[in-house]
Amino acid sequence: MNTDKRFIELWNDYLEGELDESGIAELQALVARDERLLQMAVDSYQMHRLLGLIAQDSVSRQDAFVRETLARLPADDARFVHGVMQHIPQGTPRKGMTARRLLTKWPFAVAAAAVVVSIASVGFWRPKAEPEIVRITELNGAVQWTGGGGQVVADLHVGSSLPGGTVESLSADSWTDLKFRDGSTVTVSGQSVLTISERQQKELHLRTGNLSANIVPQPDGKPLLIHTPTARLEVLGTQLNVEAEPASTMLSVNRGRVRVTRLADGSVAEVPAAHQVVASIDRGAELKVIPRPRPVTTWQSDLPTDGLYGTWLPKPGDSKGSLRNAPMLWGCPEKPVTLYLVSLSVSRNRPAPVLLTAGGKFRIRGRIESAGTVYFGLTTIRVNGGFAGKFLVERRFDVVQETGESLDIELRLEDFRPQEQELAEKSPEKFPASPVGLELFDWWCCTVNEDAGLEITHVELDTGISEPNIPSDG
Amino acid sequence: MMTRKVSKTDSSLEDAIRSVRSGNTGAFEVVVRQCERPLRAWLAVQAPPGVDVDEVAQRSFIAAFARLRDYEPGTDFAAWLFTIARFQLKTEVSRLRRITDYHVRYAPDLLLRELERRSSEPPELQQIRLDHLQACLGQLGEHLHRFITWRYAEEIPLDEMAARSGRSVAAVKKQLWHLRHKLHECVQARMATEGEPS
Repeated sequence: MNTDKRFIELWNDYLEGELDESGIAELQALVARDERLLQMAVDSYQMHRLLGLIAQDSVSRQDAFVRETLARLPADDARFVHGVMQHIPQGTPRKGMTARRLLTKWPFAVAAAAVVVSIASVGFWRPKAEPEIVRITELNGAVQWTGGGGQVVADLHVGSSLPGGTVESLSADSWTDLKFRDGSTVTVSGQSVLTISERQQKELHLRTGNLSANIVPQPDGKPLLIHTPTARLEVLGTQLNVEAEPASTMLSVNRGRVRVTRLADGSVAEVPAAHQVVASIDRGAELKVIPRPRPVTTWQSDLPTDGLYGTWLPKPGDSKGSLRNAPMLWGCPEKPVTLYLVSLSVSRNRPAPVLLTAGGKFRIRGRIESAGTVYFGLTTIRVNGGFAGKFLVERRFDVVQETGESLDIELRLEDFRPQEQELAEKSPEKFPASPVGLELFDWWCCTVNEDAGLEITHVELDTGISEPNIPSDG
Repeated sequence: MMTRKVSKTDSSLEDAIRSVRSGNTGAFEVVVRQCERPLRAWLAVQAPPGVDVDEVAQRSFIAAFARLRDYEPGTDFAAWLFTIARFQLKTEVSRLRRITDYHVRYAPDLLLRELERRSSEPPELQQIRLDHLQACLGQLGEHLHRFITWRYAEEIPLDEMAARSGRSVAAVKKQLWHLRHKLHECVQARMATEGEPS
């Protein structure tokens, strides 16, 4: 057998992993004697690797690689916070707007946010090849868009026009308003994934999360379709809110009428204004249209159930316990801020919304170990759906005793100011200056950079007004 | 598609880098998505047997993320990333070389040396080769292309390939050798006449 033939034999076996140690030694000796064979070997090896690369390539392979790589990045502040927020329990998709939302545009983080916003407005990538379907009219927090070609655009800004694709509101604090060419608007908030298309008709795929939509009358026979994991909604012209989870879809109609098809069994229901329905994956559950529950004006915490962030400390021999603040890093890497946070859900497992009314006040009991300023905050939504802003108030506590002191305070709703003052000034109709008249979504308190050892045992909202004056839609 | 190239004119990549540097870690996904294919292509052909290409690629991205402040915006990010990757690969190869019987059991020493020599080629060459290779694969007749599909996409054993094609295992090995050689020549010819694919 001549040298070339023997080399090819050995080399093929080598590439197939079938060459033993003596074979490798023989191969090594062959290529050592003949530079031409060495070059052939390396050419073949590189071709072998490129062919393997092409064969493996797929979108799912790339997705997996990207996911694994991002998961291995060192935990800087923003990543840590995002990770924490991802793990905060969410009873319903509405809980998407929870603790982190409360923390956005924190006074200490305004500078960092401003930098991000200013960068986003420079040199923005704008899709040109496909026709515009929607335009971004408002934007807050981490929102990204993935187009048909799979390109992910993280730096979106107000005024961006988007063709068909997927809008992802990535964290609890993020939200965006999208406007169709016919004037219909959709707001996506919290951790939500929405795919938009418009060919024969408008179609939205809400994979998870929540949206509020204000849809102008659509052409005959071409209703706007909203697809969720468990339901199909046909919308002619209406104002509605949708919350999608893997196992259920909650639809609340404020104006107009929506036709709902439950995917599990094909059952259909018409939902009129001021009504709601839950389309569950559970065939046994009835697809029942009910009037929207009247809001209540009082609320009392159930800490083990309501706790979104903090450390639950049960009391031995007692059903009660306390929720102790837990640290959360926040801010840009240059100016990290540690929040010592307790956060509670208000709407979890409560069918009736909690309306904030004039004269309402919070009573808070607990304990604080060392002196410090405590920030108390609220996240609110409008009565007919949609994020309405965050409000906060601070109180200074001086602690004399080494063992800490009990905390028992009252905070009037009138004391709370908008956390996002700029938004309140810019769009007062959307982000009111007062929480009165809004629904309470969640409640939180924290200290900044100093662990004051805050423990909460009880939070209660009370009011002297028994019959609320519900604001009209708008 | 494996044809996306990274260049210093890619403004979306620069935007993402600026965003990451401002604290938006999530924007690093854009960086990884845009650069992973060229990077893996380069690593695949430069890494000797025994190196986990994806592992080295991920380490390179992590190192780039950690040092992103050192990158000068507006310059060539790909070149900067490949410099990091080259260092990561060198570290991994050094680790492998310390394994006592690595050369005996896994890779002839001369193969390693030649790969190392070729690693000084411009990294974007591999992406260009990859693009040409895809074109060359498209020119293969179905009777030949099936061997590539069986071996690399379906990864079926050689004896099954032999049974399917009615040939001996040795003949199948030889066929694969010729195919690789033919594809290499095709790529080289295209590189010589066409340069970078449009």
